[in-house]
Amino acid sequence: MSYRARGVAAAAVIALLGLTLTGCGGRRIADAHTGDAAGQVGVDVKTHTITIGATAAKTGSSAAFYESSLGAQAMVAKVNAAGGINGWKLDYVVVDDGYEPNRAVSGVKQLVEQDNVFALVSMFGTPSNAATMPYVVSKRVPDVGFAMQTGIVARKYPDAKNLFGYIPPYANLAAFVAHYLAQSHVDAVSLAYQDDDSGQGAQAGLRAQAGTEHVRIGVEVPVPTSATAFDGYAGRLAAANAPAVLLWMPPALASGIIKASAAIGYHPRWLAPFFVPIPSFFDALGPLADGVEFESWLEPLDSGSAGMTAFLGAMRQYTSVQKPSINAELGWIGMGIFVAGLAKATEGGRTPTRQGLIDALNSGETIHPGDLATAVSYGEQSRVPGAVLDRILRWHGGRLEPVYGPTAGISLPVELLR
Amino acid sequence: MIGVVVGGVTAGCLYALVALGLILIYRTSGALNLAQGATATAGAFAVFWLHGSLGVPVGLAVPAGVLAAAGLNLAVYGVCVYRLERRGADLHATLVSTLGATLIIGGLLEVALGYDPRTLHLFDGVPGPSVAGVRIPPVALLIVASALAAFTVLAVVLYRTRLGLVLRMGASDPRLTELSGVSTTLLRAVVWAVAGALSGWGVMLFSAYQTLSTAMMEALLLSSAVAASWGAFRNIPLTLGGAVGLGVTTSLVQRFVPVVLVSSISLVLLVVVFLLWQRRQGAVRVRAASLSARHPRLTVKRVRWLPKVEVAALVVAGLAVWWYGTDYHLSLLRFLVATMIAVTGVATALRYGHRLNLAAGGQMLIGAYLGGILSRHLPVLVAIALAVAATALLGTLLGALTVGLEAIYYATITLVVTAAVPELVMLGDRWTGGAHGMTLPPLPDPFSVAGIGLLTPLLVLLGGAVLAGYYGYGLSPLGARALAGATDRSLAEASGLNPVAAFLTVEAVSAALLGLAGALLAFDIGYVGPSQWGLGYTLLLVGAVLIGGGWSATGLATATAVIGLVPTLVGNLAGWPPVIFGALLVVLILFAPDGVDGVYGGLARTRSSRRDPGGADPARAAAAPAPAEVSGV
Repeated sequence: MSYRARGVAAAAVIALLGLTLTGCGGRRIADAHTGDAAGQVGVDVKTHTITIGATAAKTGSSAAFYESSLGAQAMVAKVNAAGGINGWKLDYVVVDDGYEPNRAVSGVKQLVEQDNVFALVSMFGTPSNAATMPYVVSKRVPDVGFAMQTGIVARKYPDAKNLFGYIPPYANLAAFVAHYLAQSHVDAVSLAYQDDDSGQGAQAGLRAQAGTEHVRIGVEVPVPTSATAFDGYAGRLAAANAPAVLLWMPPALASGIIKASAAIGYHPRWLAPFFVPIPSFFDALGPLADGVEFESWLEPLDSGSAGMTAFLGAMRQYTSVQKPSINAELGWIGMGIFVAGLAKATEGGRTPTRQGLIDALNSGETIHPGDLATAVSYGEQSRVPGAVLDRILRWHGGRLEPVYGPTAGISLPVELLR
Repeated sequence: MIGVVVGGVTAGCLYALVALGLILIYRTSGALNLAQGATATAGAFAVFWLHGSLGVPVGLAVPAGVLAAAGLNLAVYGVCVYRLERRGADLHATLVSTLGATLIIGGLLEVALGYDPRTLHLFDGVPGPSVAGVRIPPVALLIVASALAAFTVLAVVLYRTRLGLVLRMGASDPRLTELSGVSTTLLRAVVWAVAGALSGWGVMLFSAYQTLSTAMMEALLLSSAVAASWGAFRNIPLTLGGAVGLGVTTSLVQRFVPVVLVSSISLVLLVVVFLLWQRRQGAVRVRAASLSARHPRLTVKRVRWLPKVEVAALVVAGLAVWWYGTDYHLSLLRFLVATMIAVTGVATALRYGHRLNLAAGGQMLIGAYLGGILSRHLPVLVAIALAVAATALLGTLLGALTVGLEAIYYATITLVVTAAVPELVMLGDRWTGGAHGMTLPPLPDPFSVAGIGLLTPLLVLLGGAVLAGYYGYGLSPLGARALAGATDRSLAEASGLNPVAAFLTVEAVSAALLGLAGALLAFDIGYVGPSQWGLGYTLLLVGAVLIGGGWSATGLATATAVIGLVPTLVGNLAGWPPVIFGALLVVLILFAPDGVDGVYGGLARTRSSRRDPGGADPARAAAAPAPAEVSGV
């Protein structure tokens, strides 16, 4: 009898769970893979509020990237404080994904199907975005200002009109580094890259451009992101003895390789992508960081432009981040693209719709998100930015100094992207 | 070349310092302290805080950091392990409680100090000695010297002093030690503190040698555990040799093997050599004949009660959600069903094999990827079925390699499997899409009726069938044989049973369920990537099973809810979810060792005993029959 009681109690708990899940509702609908609800999803015409959302790494070992979400939230706060976009205020729902692809997928499903967001905005991270994209494309939800290695988008989703990335494919950025080295009369370069989407994209670009500009590739060294010792990698780079090495990997790995190389007396010209120059990288290397060069398609944080001043001010005013990094700038740009698109979609008192937003962004007009120098435009044939303004900065005397550019970046054909 | 070897030796000595702490604790408390990395990191972060923020000189900050690591490790012992020891809990319980401690400490560190990698500046600007043109950093010398000193001192203390004698006696027979008037609790407390100090010192030096980030701690702990396995968690010189061998092998593989498998190759290589060595040592005593032994006719004691009500209630609840739910609820339901199958896979190994299957994440990836690759040429359902069969086969192979090993070696080896599978996936770029992952076709819905999809209810029924099978297996001769073999192998063999075949069956079933779960989850979201289910997810699965209990459908449903719903419910508390989950793990394992299910069953037993004071829990009776009883004696 006691076990029957146990079963009844179990049934009660499960029924309660079921009722919670269904919200005590009673709507019978067809199974998954139904089409997108047309019309004014995520738009509250009574309160003039638009609900948008994103998943972000609030927790976990990659939670440093959460600063990107704070950048986006700072812009939302600034826009709302100024009365909204053509009178429409924004409600930004952020769900934790721990930088885990499967949690990102369930988070996006929650945002789209449960929270009925109008659009996904400023989703951060290549693994998360790569995992959610099949679903987002199938549902035709506007996915605006996502930060990822967009070579994947260019190759896999060239016709998905609802996708609006802005970070150039890493192949293009690595190609720019090869171009810079050729201009600097460097005849050979080695590549150490994180063994994932990000690094392999850079590998493709470096190979393509180095071949064109007759820069020899010394050695290519894949490095797993879980590496804790770097002496073997340093040994391979030193054996190839190229005068320059491009390190396409997170700051902690890049500093590890530079340190290990210095220990065996290998001191090439080090180059790294835009996401490496963060304070902990320079702190880790100390004097060894002097002379390291960085590809930087983003507007430098110390540019002093009006847009950058507004960004830094909003971060200080609306978030707890007093010294934002480029991660925050990426979030700010992502949200800036949405704000620009919504402003155009609601011109003349039009009620916002998902299709209206998609059409407005795909009009081909150039957008300077958040009034920064970074420019993007989308049209029928372009889902991701092509050639952007790019530059090389060098760490010297405790600050980043411009050494090359800004100048037009490289735009490789889609078939060369990864 | 010399630089590469020197670097490898340095890394190896670092693994050795952490491994030494693991060994000390295992030998005295029988626990694999997963919190060792977290307490050591906390000690290092204390140094950054004292030196970087408060301006305390390095000479004072470093000892304070070592003391902090020692104190924290001691606190982990006092709060998370002591009570379990008194209760005579096994390795699995301490593994989970120290996992809880890891989550709490790691989460609090993140909340308090942020996530940026940190570097300790020791000997900056001091040129190290030069060997054959290679300049050796002073910190590297200090790491090597520390490891050698620690191992020498420990060897002398253990084998040349009275204290060492007491320590060894305490490890082999705590009761006898207590009778000799020595407090084993005090001994263990000292050992935990010393282990914490050693690891703290090692990690601190690592943060000066490289850069310390939370992402690196997992790999550091894994390498140290493998090194400790080499010394069979007891032999000190072999541990040092294993650690240095691992460091040098990794460095050489990095240097000369132009593929991405660098970390896996060295780990797997060492595990294979270790297994061979173990077999040579006779640690694995498998009689080949026993594999073909004839089974006696089994008479399983029939139990009237079967958790039919719970399984039926779950299925009914699932069907209700399907009928009334929205699209989102349906996708959540499919996600929960697949997660429950994964939970059942881990529970199968734990309950019927008494093994902690830490290869769970890797086996889920195998199921998903094989399903994806096969689906290019075959119908999706056929592809999934074949992928599940192949995963089961690989699980059996893993079982055959590890049969007879102590639980701690099994846990370490399966841990390596989960670490290695993503790298194999990357290597097979041509078939798996490498880092890009694979886009998968949707799960087909072949039985759509009048526009209403039947995919979700079919999956709910499949989940119900898996649950029913889980319990049915326990009541079958095969399951009873597995339980008997896992409970007492010698007695099982003496009773004429074949524990090896039973163990392999459990391994195959566990792998099949995990492969199925991986395939269902991946096909449902239309994507699988190499980082989908790593070590963190595997530990979460194991923790959830232990929270739930795994003795009833309700226990498994609780475990599923813990994984599927808790992260969503507490997701807005940035930094705090791991702390909350960790605290939940610790509290449950300490006060409710059988998880939610145990609390539940306990209440039922209380009521039952009021009515029938002599009555026993039939579920437990069915779950753990004595070998003799199983064989009909």
